[in-house]
Amino acid sequence: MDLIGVDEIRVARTRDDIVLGEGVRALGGGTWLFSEPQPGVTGLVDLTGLGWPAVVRTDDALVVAATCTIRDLTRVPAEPDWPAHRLFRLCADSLLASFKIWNVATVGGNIATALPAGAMTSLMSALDATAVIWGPEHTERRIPVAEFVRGVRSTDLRAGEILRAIEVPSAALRSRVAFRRIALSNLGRSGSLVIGRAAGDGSFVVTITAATPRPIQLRFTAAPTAGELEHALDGIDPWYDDPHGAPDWREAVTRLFAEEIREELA
Amino acid sequence: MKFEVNGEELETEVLPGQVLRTVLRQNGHYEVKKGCDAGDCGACSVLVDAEPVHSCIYPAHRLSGKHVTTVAGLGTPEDPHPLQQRFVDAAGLQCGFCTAGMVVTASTFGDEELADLPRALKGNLCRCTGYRAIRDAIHGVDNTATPAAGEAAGRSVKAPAGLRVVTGREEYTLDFTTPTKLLHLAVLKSPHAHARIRSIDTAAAEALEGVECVFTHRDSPATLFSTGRHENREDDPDDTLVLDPVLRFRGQRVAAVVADSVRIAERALALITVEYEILPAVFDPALARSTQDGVPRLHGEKGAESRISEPGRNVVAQMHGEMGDVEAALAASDATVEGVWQTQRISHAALETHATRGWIDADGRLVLRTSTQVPFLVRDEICHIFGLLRTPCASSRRGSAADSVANRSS
Repeated sequence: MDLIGVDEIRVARTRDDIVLGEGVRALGGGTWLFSEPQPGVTGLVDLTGLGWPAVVRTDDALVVAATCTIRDLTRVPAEPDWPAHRLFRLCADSLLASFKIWNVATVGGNIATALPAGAMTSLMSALDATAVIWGPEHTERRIPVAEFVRGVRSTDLRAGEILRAIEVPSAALRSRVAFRRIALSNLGRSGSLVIGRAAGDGSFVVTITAATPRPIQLRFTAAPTAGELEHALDGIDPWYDDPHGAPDWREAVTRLFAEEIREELA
Repeated sequence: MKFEVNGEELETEVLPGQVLRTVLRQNGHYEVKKGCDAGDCGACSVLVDAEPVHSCIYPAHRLSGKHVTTVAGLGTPEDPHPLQQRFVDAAGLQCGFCTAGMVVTASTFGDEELADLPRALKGNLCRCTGYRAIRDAIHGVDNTATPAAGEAAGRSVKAPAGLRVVTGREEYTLDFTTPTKLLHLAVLKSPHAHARIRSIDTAAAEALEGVECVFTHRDSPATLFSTGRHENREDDPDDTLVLDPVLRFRGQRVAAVVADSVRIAERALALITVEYEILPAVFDPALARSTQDGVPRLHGEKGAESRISEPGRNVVAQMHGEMGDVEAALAASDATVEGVWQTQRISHAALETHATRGWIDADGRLVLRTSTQVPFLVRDEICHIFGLLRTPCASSRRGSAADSVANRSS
């Protein structure tokens, strides 16, 4: 929809153009920002004009630009030793949004919107990816994606900061993974999304999203027993409550998925 | 800004915050529909550089140098795209408001999408629920016949307007350019579930450049009416005013601004100052219908002339009915099941924008073109509320978009 309060859109071409302030927001793909009225927003700084390469491979990471579209992420070719690569498509398919939205929506935008069912948050949390944050005066800091999303519509971004990139450790892509998801309707908004990851060093992590207001990670130095996993799940509070699923249902399916994943990766 | 639409260069002004759909429609590309306006229904789907997008959430400032293809660019009634012809042959359309988006989206499908249509089309909603026929259309199933003259009865004939609909040529309510200057109306909505307007100050809104006028309850006719319509107007209770000083639900219209553009009209809403007396509200249906003290009576001041079923219990209407001798049937049954079943109120979400355009024609008649399934009844009620003389009403092919004509009284 037209954002009737917006008086100016600046397309950022260099880092110095990224100046946010009162009423001025960073714009990624725009598929969420333009989907509802934005009272108080008077200006937008379009980050897609910065021309960041969608993905860059370094020695030990896959660096995904915040402006990489969901479509481009699904087209990143797999390496032979990346069993976790299949999560890219599984998570994109977990979005409520159709493939047409993937053509415009960005990975960074999905994470920064901080919705419990944001499947890019699921993906990047499960892969222990790091959020690279740019602040004013050319400052830069890093925080795990699982901590970057702090709650429903709440992130760790401070005034003037933007999400620049997500660094996915290559080691995480080399992990074995298991994936479970459910929604109240077949192609609906995720009610629970659970990803298990068994790394080469034997460590085991279960990442829960959609069922909780923010990503929850259960970490084990080695594959847990059923009892150990159950005990860790007991500590989760609260379970998310909205029209897309009751908290007790989300807890029940999450517990089931976690145990299935434990057995699958054993 | 310059970009290409259906192979032709378009140079146009783009305002900050505008989306592609608005820019296309402002330039006469009415084949691109405004549905949900939130990226969900897909009626506005177009191709940008061959990739399908929802144009209602595509920021227009990115258009420079891009190539846009709409459903009208895919084919014409004389030379339709094969998929457009298939939608006609399969009867894959009913009201047709979703069809443009369905065709554009499906035109990009490869084997993967064809194998999983529910997923590939989850960004396209049809509210006539014609998904089976749409699936048939995409898979090339022919559900229609072309019988010879006089032999059509009982046969599944093609929709007469089908080729116009599938190529985006059919005019819906807002799909035409008004001969006179077009003004836009925006509505200020109540933030309270139950309140009385103590005072309302519209001076600042009226002073905004581009604002033509502002209406409040002070301008409203005193005639009560129902927003529901049946052939006999007395089937519905007279429970509301065009603009009522008492607000009985959150979102009820408080004031209306008429301005040169939607943008100005909506901005002017923020300049209206309203002082509300907040009244007690009730949200529990059982409590609302009780006679308990302290439960607000939303229409308590209205009498029998309003035809509200039980104003003292917040019951606006009730219906009881049975067919045949239910008691005897139950008595004779081998097994019976007893229970109380209830359902929520359901509002059908029509895709077409709820909209009306009005103008005064050369004979001085007020002409209203509105999206409604009951144009004659809407005309009659508008004449009743505003004291107008009624004149003939014309309806287009569709139930959900029709012209309504009413004469101005002296």
